[in-house]
Amino acid sequence: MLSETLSIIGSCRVEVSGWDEDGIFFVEESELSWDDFAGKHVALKHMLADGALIFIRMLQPTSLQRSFPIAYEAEFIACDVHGSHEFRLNAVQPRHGRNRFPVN
Amino acid sequence: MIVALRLTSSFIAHYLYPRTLVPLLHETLRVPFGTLVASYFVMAYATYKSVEVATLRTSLTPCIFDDEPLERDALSALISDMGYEPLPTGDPEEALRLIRSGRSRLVLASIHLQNSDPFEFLDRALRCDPGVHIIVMTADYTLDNALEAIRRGATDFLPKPVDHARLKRTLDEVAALYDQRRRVRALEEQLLKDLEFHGIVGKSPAMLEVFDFARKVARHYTNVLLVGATGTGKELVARAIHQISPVSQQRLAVCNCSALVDTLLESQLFGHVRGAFTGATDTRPGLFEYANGGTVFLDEVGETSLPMQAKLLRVIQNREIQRVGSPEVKQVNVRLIAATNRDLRAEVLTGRFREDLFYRLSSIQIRIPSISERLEDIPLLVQFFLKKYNDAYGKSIAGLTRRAQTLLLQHPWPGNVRELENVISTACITATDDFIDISDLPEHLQHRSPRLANDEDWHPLSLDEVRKHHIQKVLQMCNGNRLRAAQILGIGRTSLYRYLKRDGLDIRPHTHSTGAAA
Repeated sequence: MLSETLSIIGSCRVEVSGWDEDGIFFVEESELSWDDFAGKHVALKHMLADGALIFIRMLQPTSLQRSFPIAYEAEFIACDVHGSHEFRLNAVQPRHGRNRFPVN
Repeated sequence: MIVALRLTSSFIAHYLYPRTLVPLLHETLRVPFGTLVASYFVMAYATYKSVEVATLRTSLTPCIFDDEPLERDALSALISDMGYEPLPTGDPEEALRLIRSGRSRLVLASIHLQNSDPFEFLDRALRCDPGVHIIVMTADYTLDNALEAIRRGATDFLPKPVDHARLKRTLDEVAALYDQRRRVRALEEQLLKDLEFHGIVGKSPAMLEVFDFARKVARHYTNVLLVGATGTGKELVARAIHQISPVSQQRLAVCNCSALVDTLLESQLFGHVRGAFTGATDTRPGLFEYANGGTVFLDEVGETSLPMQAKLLRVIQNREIQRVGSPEVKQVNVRLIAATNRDLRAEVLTGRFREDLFYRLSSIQIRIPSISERLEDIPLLVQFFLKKYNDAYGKSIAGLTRRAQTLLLQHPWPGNVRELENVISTACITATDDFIDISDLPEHLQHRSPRLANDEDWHPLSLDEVRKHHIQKVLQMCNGNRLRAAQILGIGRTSLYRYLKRDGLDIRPHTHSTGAAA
């Protein structure tokens, strides 16, 4: 089972992918920052629809395995001085059906 | 119950008949031994087949949709007697929910032809899952209505009162079809395992060519250039090459050249000494030193500046590096895999990329095809990602509805495999049923559906037909020039020839009066 959050202290380089507010697929590299009060933040050149799902993959130069893209819900906060859009990242819980059926 | 029955029958078949019963009958009744053995096999096979059929029937769970409670109950009892486990309902929404969830892949729907739109339920059910089997039943049977129902997609049209023998035959046929599909799915799962190349899946000629070439070069390369659009899996191919290379036990370092400014990139690749720049509080080795003896993967090498390219050339030519701020030159022995989504030859012509570095890097070049060049791999990739995200999210999604599959095949995939992976991941998060439907896909994909569905030019063609048609059109556009056509199609000339041969296409260059041959 995939852990639901990334365990990060401070910041790290990440690859962000998803669909922007026009539904265009994008891939962007950015810095994922984290602190106890504000949670996880990322600044993107692309604007996203509020609540859009984005996928964050840590860029680890010395990792043996390619890291797993983890889904987050993006919540727009503000535009920064460089014109980037800052988003708060909220963990996404996979939905489960109430009834589990045998599959035909 | 079924398992117990199966175990009992196999115990009888394997132990009692041959070991006890056959010798006993042979001794007491003087029946020839060969006849007894033959009878044993016939009986064992019959027992096995009857258990198999029973298993198929109980796994089909047909939905009985009838608003007349008495008729519904009677039909349910009849179907139960036939060995099926019916799910009766008088509510059309409940019936549609059973279809949508994948619980019922067969529906027996009673309709009233005097209603204003008697086939409304049939249409809605097939919109929910175009793969579902609907057997329409009515008391007002006419040939025209039967044909209309079949034309709209019904599996069969039965007059009421229902002929039991015919109903049983139809149900058994559908059950056999589902068993066939289940076996195909099992084979596909096996195929997925067989077609996985170090975490990359593909069965298209273009991808098999990539795997084959990667296997060959992995043993001998010093520098490899991977070329392909964003999201095609260049990093995965690089990791695969490292894994099957003789230095697989050594380290692999990955560096994305576009993500860092020059100074940081230099420090990351070559390391730095304490005090070399503000913030350099300690001495650190770079990735070339870290991966000494192994492999360094430079992603997006086309994004590097000219001064950085000069430093990379030095590593390739002299196998030496210098930490930032240090005069000391260190020898390194690394294999280099570089990747780009740019046309580096064009970059050389415009002066943005060093020609000498380009030739050093591109001595071995592998082009990774985009999804549009390997549409036949989409179902395999979907299956691969479904398994990955089922495991990740603790789900057990079995597949996609037909219409969701159709939608995926129609999407242009600008983000290639990465985009497809995100779509399946999103769908696995959203889906609450056992099958992913259109509503579980990202919103912009869902909105493409009506446009394509109403597109008058669209026809339900197989992928092979789409490819053949597209290649034909591109060749015609290029006046038969195969090299140019291959460039536009984004495939190698060899792949194009293979497709042409396979599809029986032979488009010769047109001869013009001007003498301009393609």
